[in-house]
Amino acid sequence: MCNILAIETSCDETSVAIVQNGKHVLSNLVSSQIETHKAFGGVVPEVASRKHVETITLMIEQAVEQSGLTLDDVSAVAVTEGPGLVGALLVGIMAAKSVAFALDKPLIGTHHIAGHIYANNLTADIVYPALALVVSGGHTELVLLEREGQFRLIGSTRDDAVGEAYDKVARALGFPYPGGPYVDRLAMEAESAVELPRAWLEPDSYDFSLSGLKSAVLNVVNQKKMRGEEPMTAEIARGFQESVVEVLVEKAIRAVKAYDVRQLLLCGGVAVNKGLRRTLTERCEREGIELLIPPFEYCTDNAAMIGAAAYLKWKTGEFSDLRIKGDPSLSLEKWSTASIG
Amino acid sequence: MSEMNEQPRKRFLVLDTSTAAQVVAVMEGQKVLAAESSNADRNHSVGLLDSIARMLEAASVSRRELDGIAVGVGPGSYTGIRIAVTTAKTLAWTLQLPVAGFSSLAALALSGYLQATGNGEKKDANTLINTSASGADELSNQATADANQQQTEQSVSAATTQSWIVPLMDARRGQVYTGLFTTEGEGVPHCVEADRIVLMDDWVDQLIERYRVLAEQERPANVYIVGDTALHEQRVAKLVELAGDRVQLLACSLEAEDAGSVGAAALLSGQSEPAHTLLPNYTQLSEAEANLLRHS
Repeated sequence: MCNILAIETSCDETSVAIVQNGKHVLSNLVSSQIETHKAFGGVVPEVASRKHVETITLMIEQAVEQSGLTLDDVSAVAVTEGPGLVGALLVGIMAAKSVAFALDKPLIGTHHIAGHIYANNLTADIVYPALALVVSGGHTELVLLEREGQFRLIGSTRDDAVGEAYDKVARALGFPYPGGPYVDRLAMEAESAVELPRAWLEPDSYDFSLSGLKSAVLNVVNQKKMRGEEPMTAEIARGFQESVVEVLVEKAIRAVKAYDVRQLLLCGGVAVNKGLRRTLTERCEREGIELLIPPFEYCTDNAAMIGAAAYLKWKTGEFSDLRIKGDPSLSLEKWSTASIG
Repeated sequence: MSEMNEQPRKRFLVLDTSTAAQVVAVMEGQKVLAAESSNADRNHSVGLLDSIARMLEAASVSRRELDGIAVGVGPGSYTGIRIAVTTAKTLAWTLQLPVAGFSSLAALALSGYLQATGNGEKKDANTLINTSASGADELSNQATADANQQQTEQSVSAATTQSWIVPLMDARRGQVYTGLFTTEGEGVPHCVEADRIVLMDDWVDQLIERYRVLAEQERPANVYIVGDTALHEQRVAKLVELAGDRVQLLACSLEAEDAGSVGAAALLSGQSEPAHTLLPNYTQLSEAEANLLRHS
């Protein structure tokens, strides 16, 4: 039996979970700072770091209490080592080191994106080889998992991340931060779409580019303003969403076929986007591809997913020393586990 | 002596990472069992736990044998103070120990005072505090002797043995983290003006005003300005004009033994708080919060 106490503070959620054998979530506490950062129109790193210090031990205490376990039952301590905001990561890392040191238990520095991918293992079983489509505020990636714990990056965004583009477009359309969900809702309600470009890049590329689309949206918005026309907010939102979703879905499906994987895993904060979920689900059904999507609470940043990913390293016995520090550019591929057997 | 031995000695872990120095001390009461101050080039997150493990081992104290944790809560580097505070509060919560925050400036004030009075070399806190008393006497005697020689109005027989200590941590753009501490030579310096961030020019004006309004016999025998003095030497000139050679500048860093003394004193006096509410003392809002407040 392995009970991992997991801590995640890479951005603006302070989260602590206890996960058994990388699978069973005994507790998963998330303290969101979203209300605080709304006033600034985005996440302010210094404010995020201050908030993490204020809540970290309380979150650990509540996670332990709700799990029904005691600290003596904890087998290892996991923490997001990167990527993320370096000052925010640091609070979780110091807390995790301190718990690990005080309990004399192993420490497992964990990759944030490995966490998002392995969130899928909390409610289903990942079958390999698998392909993950990671979509969040900081990431837009296609990751190939040839076996458990092995990550190969086959495509990523060359400029903005999907979530970032959503928030910027939302701002242009007059919505407060974080605006992604407004765009999603509006797009679903719209009766028609303003036609916007798709960034396919080179024919064989699995990379993404969203800054051109974002600029196109801004152009349309400004033109309408200058001509004194109807803002057509809903139609623009739908046009933007259709463009983003079409490219994400097409590239993911092409990669699924090219690498002959057995499952497609959707994950990351933008995986809560209804337009993306619906289109990808329909397409996978049509193509006969098995699609996993974590429940909402495991899509946005949470510590349970860190506990799920850390379990990979528990099994291979790859522990971190007490000298780890926050690494904003931690490599996912290098975080792959040693192969067993 | 035998009475002392019957008292269970309390063992404390003391941390401070508010400055360039990464400071860890293991104390038994006011006695330093092990202390380490390393210049970690503002990379305290990497080495702090290693240093804690090393100091506990050197002191032959296991983590389960600790009776309390004390931590410098700042002011200082924002990231720096978060490192020690997060570590202290999480260790305290996990090990179920009392935790106390202390002013990092108080520790710097003590380091500066002991070095200025020639007692900085003594690494045993017991010795250090006992001898510092006589050190201060010597100094005030010296001040009196000087006064008799010079017969200047400003230094005629300082009746007080009190010293002022003004610790400085540079906070960029002409600002300092500072406060005003007094000491009669013994124990932890007493805070009379709370930790703050202030323009050094304004701070010097405030100190001058405070000094000026005192009757001669109430004026401090010495004014020690300690810490990051190099960048602010020019700004102190006005104070030197007024108080003459009572003013001494000493560039120094925060020493582990002195943080140990200040931290142990806090815990020995019963000061502690729940781990959950222990927080850094930034002394100011973050820039984003300040801007928001200004524009609303």
